[in-house]
Amino acid sequence: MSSRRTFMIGTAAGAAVVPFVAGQSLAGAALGDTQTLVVMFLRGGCDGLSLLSPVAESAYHDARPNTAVADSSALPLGSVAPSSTFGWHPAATQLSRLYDAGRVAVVPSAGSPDHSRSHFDCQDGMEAGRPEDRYSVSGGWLGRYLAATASSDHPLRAFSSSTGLPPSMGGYGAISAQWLDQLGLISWGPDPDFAMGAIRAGYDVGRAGADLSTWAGITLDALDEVAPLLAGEVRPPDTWPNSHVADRLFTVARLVESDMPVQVATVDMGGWDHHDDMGAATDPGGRTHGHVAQLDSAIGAFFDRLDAAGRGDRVTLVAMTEFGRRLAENDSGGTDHGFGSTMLMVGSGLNPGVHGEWPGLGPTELAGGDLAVTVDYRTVLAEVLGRNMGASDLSSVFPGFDTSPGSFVGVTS
Amino acid sequence: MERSGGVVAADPEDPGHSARESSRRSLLRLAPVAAIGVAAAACADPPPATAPAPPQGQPLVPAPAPGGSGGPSQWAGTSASHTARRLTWGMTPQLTDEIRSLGLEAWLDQQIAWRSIDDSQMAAILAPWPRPDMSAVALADDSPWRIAQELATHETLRRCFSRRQLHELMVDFWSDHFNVHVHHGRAQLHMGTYMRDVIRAHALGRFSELLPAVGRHPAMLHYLDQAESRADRGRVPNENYARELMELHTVGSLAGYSQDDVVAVSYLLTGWTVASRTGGFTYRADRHDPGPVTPTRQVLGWSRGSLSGDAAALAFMDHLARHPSTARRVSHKLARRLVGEHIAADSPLVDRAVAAWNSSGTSIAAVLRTLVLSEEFADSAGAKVRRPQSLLTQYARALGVQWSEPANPDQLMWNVWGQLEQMGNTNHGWAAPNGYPDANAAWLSVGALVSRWNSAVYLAHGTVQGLDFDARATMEWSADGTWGGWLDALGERIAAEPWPEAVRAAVFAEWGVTEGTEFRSWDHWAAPNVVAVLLQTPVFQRS
Repeated sequence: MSSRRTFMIGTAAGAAVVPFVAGQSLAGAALGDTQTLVVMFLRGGCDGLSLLSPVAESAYHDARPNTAVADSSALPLGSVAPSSTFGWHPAATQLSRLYDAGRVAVVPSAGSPDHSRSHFDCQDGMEAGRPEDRYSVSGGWLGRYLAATASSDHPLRAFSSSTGLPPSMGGYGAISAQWLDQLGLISWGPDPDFAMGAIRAGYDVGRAGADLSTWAGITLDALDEVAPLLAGEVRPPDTWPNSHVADRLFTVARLVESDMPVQVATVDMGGWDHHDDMGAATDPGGRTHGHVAQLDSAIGAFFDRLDAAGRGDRVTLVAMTEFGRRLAENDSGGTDHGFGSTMLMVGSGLNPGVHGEWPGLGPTELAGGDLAVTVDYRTVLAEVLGRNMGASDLSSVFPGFDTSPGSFVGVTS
Repeated sequence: MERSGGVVAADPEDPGHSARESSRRSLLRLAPVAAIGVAAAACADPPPATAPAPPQGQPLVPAPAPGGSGGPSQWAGTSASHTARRLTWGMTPQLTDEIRSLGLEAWLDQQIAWRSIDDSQMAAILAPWPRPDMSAVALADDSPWRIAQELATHETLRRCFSRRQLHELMVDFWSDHFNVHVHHGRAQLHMGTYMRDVIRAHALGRFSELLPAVGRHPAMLHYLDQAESRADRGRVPNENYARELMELHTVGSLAGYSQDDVVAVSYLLTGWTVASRTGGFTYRADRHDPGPVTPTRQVLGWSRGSLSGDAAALAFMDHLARHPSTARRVSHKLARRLVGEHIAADSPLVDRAVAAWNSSGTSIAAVLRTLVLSEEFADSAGAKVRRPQSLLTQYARALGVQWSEPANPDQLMWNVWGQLEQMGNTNHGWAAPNGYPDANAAWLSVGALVSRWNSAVYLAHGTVQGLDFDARATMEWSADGTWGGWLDALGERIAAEPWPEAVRAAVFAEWGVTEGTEFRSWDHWAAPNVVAVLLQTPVFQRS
C-alpha cells in the first residue's frame, strides 16, 4: 500500500521536491526512538529583558523605572549554572524549576542581523533562514531541513499545531492542526471510507490544480494515521493551563507520547508586541507578567506530561522571537521594537546555563538604543540540528551562513 | 475640534431605512434576490442624500476610452462563471446568467456604483444582531465575544444575501489591508463603527480619503497605540502606528525610509488621540510636539514647511497616499487579490493599474476596472484557493440557501463563528496588523482542508440555523425521477459543471444504484450526503 510518490510543494520562490510515502505503517520498531524538535515562535517581539532579566545591570533599571524586574523579585539562577547577572521573571516559576534541574539553556542576546525593527521583515527573514535576502531561497529553514534529511517519510514527521503551516516549514508537506480531532472527516450516514474515497477520486491534478491535489493526498494519508488517536484524549484535562499556547503544546504532547514519529513540531505564541501597559513585573494582572506566565506554565505542563509518559528525554524545545524590545520604556508604559532578545531552549541534549557573549547595556554597548545581537539565531539552530537532530549538511538549511561547529556557542551537551 | 466619533450616525448604506422600520420578510430565496439586485440597479435610484458625497474634481471611474483600454476586445474572453466566482462571495448559476447577459463591463460598473443598488432587504436580515451599529460608549460594558461574533454574523449574511457583492469583496480587502484585531482590548468596542463609517464607506472610493479616515478612527488609534502616543513635556512618542502606516498601509518597507524617519513620523502624529469622554477622535494640540520634524526635515520627499500640528500630519498622510511606492504596492496587492499571486509587482498589468491610480487621483474603482477588464483577469480562472470565509459563503450561495429569521439568532451566530474558527479565518481574527494572508499556500494544509470538507457536510445537512437547506428537496430536480437525472441536476444547479466522473461512480457504488435507478422510498436519507460530496469537490475550493 505504500507506493512512493513525489510531491511538488510550490513556494513563493520556487518549488522543492519532497519524497513522500503514503499509508506507511506505524508499526516500525525504530519509530519510538524519534527525537523531537519543537520550534516555538514568540510573535510580536518578545522582551527578553523581561523574561530573563539582566538584574545586575544598573542601565536596565535606569531605563525601565516602571517595568524592570527588580533584583529582589527575580527568580535567581542559583543551583545549576549559576549567574548573578540574570534572573528569571517572577512569573517564570516553571522555567526556573527546569533550569535548576539542568534542562534549560538560554542565549540572552540572540537574534537576526535584520535591524529593520519590522515584525514582518524580521519574521519572514528568520523563517526563510536567510534574513540577508529572504527572496533568494526557496521555502523555509525547517522545510529545507526536512526535505534534505528524509530519514522517515511518515506523514506525521513534521507537524504544526496551528491552522496552517508557518513559513519556516515552507516547501515541505507538513501536517497542521490545532487539535487532533481536526484530523477527522465528518460523515453522517455513509461509512467514513466513502467520503475519503470520493475526495481522493475527485482531487485529480486536472480538476484541483497541482497544489490542492497534492495537499488532498497528504491530508487523506494523514487522516489514516491519526485515526487511532482520536479515540484517546484530544482535549486537555482540567488541570492543564488555560491558554492557546498550552493547548497547542498539548496536541504535540499527545502525538509524542503516542509514539508518532514527529521529528519537528512548530507552535506559535502571539501577542508579545507590548508597546504599552507592560505593567509592573510583580503585578499578576500586568500584561507582560501574564504573557510570561502563559509561556512558562505551558512549557512546565508540557514537560511534566512528557516526563510522566517517559518521553521527556526525547524532546527539545527552542523558543525564538523576531526581535527584542527597546531598552528604554516609552511613555505608554511599554517598549517599542528593538533588536536582540532571549533564545530559550528546554529539554534534552542541552548544556544548561546562559550562553553567548553578553554585550551589556551601557550607552556604548547598545545598538541604536537596543540590546545588541551577539549570537545569530542560526548559529543556535544549526548547533541543535547538527548535534541533537543528526543533520550533517546544514548549508542548504542556512545558505550562505557559517554553520561549522567552530562557530557554535555550546548550547548542546 | 472633536468629532462625534462616539455617536452612531445613520447607516450610510441604508439611508432613510431604519432596520427597525423595515418590514421583515420571513423568506428570502437567495438566487432570485441576486437577479432582482441586478435588475434594480439598472433603473438606479439617485444617490441618497445622506451618503458621503462623492469627491469633487476627477471622476472616480473614468469613462472608457473608445476603442482603447477597457474595450470589449480585451475581456471578451472572460467567462461569466469565472467572473462570478472571483468577484463575488460565491457563484450561483443565476448570477452567472446575469453577468453573461449584461456583459462584464456593464455588470462591473453596476457593482462599482454600489450605493445605487437597492439592498434594502439586508436591514431585516441583520436586525437580530444590533451591536455592529452601536457606539463604543453604548457597548462599554458588553461582552467582547458578542461584539466580535455579531460583526462576523453581519458580514457573513451580507456576503450571502447582499446584492452589492463587489462592494462586500472590497470591504474584505480593505479590512485586511487596514487590519484591526477584533479582540484587541480597547479597539474591539469600535469595530462596528470602524467597518461601517470607514471601511464600508470608502471601500470603492479614494485611497487618499480612506487612509486618513482609518488613521483617525478610534479602532486604529487604539489598535496601533496612537491614542497613547504623546510628545509633551519631553515624552517619547509611541512608534507603532507611524511604522505600520508606512510599512503596511502605504509605501512598504523598501521605500527608503529609516528608523529616524519612523521616529520623526511618530512625533508628527502626536496629538491624534481618542477623547476619553466620547470615545471619538480628537486632536490634542497640548500633546503634540514636532520634535525632530523641523520645517525642512525630509521624510520620503516631503517636508512640512509652514504647516504644523494636525494640518501637517494630514498633509503627510496625503503625501503617503499619493506616493509612487504606495501606488505600486497597493495596486499590486489589489492585482494579487483580484487576479492572482502570479502577477508580479513590475508586470504590465500592475503598470496599467498604477497609471489608473495616478490619473484618477487614487480612485480604487479605476484600478479595479483596469485589473478586471484585462486579459490577465480573463486568463486567471481558478488561480486562487478560496479563503475559508469565502468558501463558507460559496457553499451557501451555491446551495441557494434560504434566509429564514432564525428562532434562535445566537445559534446561527455561534454556528457561523464556530465554522470559521475551525478553518482559522474568523472575521478580523488576525492579530498582527498585516491582515490575513492572500496567498494560496497559506490556506493549504492538512487540518485546514479537513475543516473545509467538514464545513461542506454541515451546510449540506442544513445544520446551520438561518442558512436553511433541505437536500431532500433537490431530488425533485431530477427530470426523470432517476439517480442519474438527479446527479445531473445537482451538478448543473449547484456546481455549474458536471460531476467528476470518478466521484459520480463512487456515489452510485455507495448507494448501490446506477444511472437509471428510479428513486426508492428510502433514498431521501442519502440526499444530504450526496450533496456534501458534491460540495467537497475541487470546484468550490478555488476561484
